[in-house]
Amino acid sequence: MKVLYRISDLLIRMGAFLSGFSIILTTFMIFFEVISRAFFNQPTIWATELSIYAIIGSCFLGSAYAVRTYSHITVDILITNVNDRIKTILAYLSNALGLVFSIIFTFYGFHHSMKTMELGVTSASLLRVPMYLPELLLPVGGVLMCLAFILQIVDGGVHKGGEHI
Amino acid sequence: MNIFFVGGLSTFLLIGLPVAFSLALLAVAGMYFFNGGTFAFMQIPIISYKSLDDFSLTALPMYVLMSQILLVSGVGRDLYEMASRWFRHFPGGLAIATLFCCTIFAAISGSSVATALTVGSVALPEMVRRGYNKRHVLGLLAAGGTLGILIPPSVPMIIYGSVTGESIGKLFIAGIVPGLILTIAFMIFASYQTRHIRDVPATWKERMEASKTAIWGLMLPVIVIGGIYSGLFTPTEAAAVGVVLSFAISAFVYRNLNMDNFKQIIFSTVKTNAMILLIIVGAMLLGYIMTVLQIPQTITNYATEQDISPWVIFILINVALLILGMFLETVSILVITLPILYPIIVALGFDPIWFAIIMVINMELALISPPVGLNLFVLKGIDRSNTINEIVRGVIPYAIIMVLFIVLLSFFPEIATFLVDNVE
Amino acid sequence: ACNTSKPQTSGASVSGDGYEETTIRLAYNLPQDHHISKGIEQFAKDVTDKSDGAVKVQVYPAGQLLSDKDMNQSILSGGVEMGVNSATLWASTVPAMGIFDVPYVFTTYEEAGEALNGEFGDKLRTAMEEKGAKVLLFADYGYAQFANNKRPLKSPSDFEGLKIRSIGDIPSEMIKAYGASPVFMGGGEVYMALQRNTVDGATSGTTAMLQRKYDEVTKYLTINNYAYLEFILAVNQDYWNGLPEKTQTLLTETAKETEDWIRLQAEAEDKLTAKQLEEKGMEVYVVPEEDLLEWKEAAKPAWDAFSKNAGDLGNKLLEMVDKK
Ligand code: NA
Ligand code: NA
Repeated sequence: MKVLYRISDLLIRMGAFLSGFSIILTTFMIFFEVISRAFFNQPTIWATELSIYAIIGSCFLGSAYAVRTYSHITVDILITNVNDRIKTILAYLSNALGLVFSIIFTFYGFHHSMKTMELGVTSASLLRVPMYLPELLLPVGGVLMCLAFILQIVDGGVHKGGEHI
Repeated sequence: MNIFFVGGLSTFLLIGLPVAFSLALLAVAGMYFFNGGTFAFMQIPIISYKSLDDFSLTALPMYVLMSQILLVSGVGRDLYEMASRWFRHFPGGLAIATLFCCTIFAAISGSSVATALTVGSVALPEMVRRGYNKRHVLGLLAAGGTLGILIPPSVPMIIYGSVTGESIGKLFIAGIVPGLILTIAFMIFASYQTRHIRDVPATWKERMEASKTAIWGLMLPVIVIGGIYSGLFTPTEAAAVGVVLSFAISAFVYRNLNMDNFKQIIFSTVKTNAMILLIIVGAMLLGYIMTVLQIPQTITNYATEQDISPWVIFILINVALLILGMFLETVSILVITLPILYPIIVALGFDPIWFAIIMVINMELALISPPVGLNLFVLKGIDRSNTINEIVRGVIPYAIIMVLFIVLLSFFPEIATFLVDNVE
Repeated sequence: ACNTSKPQTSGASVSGDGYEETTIRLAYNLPQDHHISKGIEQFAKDVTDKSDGAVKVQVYPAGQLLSDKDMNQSILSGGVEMGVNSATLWASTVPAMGIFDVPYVFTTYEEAGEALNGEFGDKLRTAMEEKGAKVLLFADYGYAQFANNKRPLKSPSDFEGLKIRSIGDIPSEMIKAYGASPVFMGGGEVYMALQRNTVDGATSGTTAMLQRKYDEVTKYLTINNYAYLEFILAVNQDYWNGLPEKTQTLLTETAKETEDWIRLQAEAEDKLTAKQLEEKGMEVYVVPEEDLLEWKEAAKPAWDAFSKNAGDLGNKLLEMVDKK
């Protein structure tokens, strides 16, 4: 069990790393596009398109990490005003609901990517990227989100530091 | 059905399900109960992907990154020290300085979230450190950030122009004066609200010293605005230029871009970025199912189909926009309501350019009205110890100023149209 | 979600009886005052009227529900029953649809109409059906042109060194072949990019140029009619198969009327909007017919790109139009 927990956490951190990498990559691709177009009169055919894929990746690959670090915004009017017992129950409940969405999101995301692959859809650009590749970022991120919510439930609705949600 | 959505959202949010997941799960529930059961779930990945499949959105993660670099490297702190030395002897001097920064940043970016994020990351800790009431500061930043879409360039104005066919250039020009008036109104209020904080004036020597230290940070907006207006790059691309310059300043001028700092920058960026983008995904999913079920259309139609005087209809439109603004994200509201509202506004004899400015101010309100207000979430993201409750309480006076400003614009449409008519 | 009660049948109705009640959701992403939008709105109204309210068409206009990017997938997965989208975007699922972007394939409006009503159109319809979408009608958008800020484009060599905002792969190949560079940027940024000379020009139909106020930010308009842009009203194939034959006939017949009306409008709108752009101060250059061969030859790489992507079907289509 402990090993599985550790591996899951490691995968989530890897997602975060890739998410950060995507943002840095986007920055430099667009910066390159600006320099190349403005000073060398040679716009690229790839910077705009690849940036969009990278940003989509940055969201879905980083979301699980944001769950684990309590970075997703919650409305705190009720939970700051109830006792610890109810807080814990609510934490279990909200993590379970988060897991429900993540499972549906992952399942249909994967199904959709496979359908896209079957249809052979490509991007309407010079690159003609097979669209199932960027679309796979959704279920991959979805799996990480599922893991994140499972780990939250395993943690028992309490922050690692002991602070209640 | 409306009760289902309002009740469902309130429940999810109150039990502590994160905003992004509350919106998304509610959309899923709406699909399941009102749109053909699990068959409709095929739309989830399609809409989720589409909601981020937009080049202008790539600026957002880069502005998140830029705000983290400015914060960690100390560039932001130095800029603030300078602003403080120039303004601190005024009542609420730093509040004025912060709004000044918001205006500058609004002129760089077309997005309010980016403005609140970049200025907020730097200003919030500094102002609190210098004794400003946190609630006041949060309100100021949430509201000041919204100037990002009123002062050109502005993403909502571009959407308004492309949906209605009005000149985007004219819309930009129309936003300048209202943007500056609203900024000044914010400044006057913020200065009054925090008037008890008034430092001894800095000497000219101190001011010059601080300005010299901050020169690199000051060059950032100058280069970025200069680049946009000379056509070297677009407002979206400006974000990338800003990030590269910030990295360069941090690495070569401040010389504090080590591995630890870099890691801190990246991981904070990832958290905030995923948080904001996932809320956009959730809001788009909810917007999709609500549009399928014609809910916003029904609200808008109700407001506009009353057989009463144009001004009463105008008031009803504003009320409808306020209500939609509580629950939906600004791009969705514009795209859903404009095809209904625009012909009515024209038929009633109102000036469509003037109405665009009214619409944008309504979108500013949408960004700070709970339960779904992106600027509220951005400020919460900057410092997790802030409560949404506290931010909302801080922002209420500014929301009132915006509503009053809409009233003022209704009596004096020239505020928006004067410059447009005279630039031709 | 809501129960639809059958409205009272009025005596005036001829064909009102016998239609099974259904609600069809139809989404499109063009401005409401565009001629295709007007045609589609009329189509929806006609279908409802002719069936005496039994077959309802619920229209989601102007990108309210779906954008051009998610339209095709939503139609194919049944998220909406019907939708209007450009052939350019359908080309990412059915590569042969790119034929409408291939430079100088159709030189007159009539030619396009004939081809679409004949074997050429049938081949495309079959290819779409294989992917799960039935073509109800081809909606003519009109010809694509170039607007720019540098100089009048009197021959392909005048493109040398220009940066032109492009969409889609085939027009981009042509822009490259003419010696200019295609630039890719978000739709919302084009106006400002033209204004600040971030790009030198852009390509689109004159209806869209007028709509997006290109006259405010570009000086020269070149009418070279290089691509006959096509939009498609498609319906989810499974949904279609489940409809009663009577309803299918109603939809097909009404669609045919709409298609013809839109085709007539396309020509009128192209002429009108080009004139309006000129009146608003753009300098218009119409490429004379005798020069078009030179423009076509220079665009050869775009033909090759299409031929490579679109496979056997694409090449068959090219042969069919090249003979004429
Ligand atoms: Na702005
Ligand atoms: Na709101």
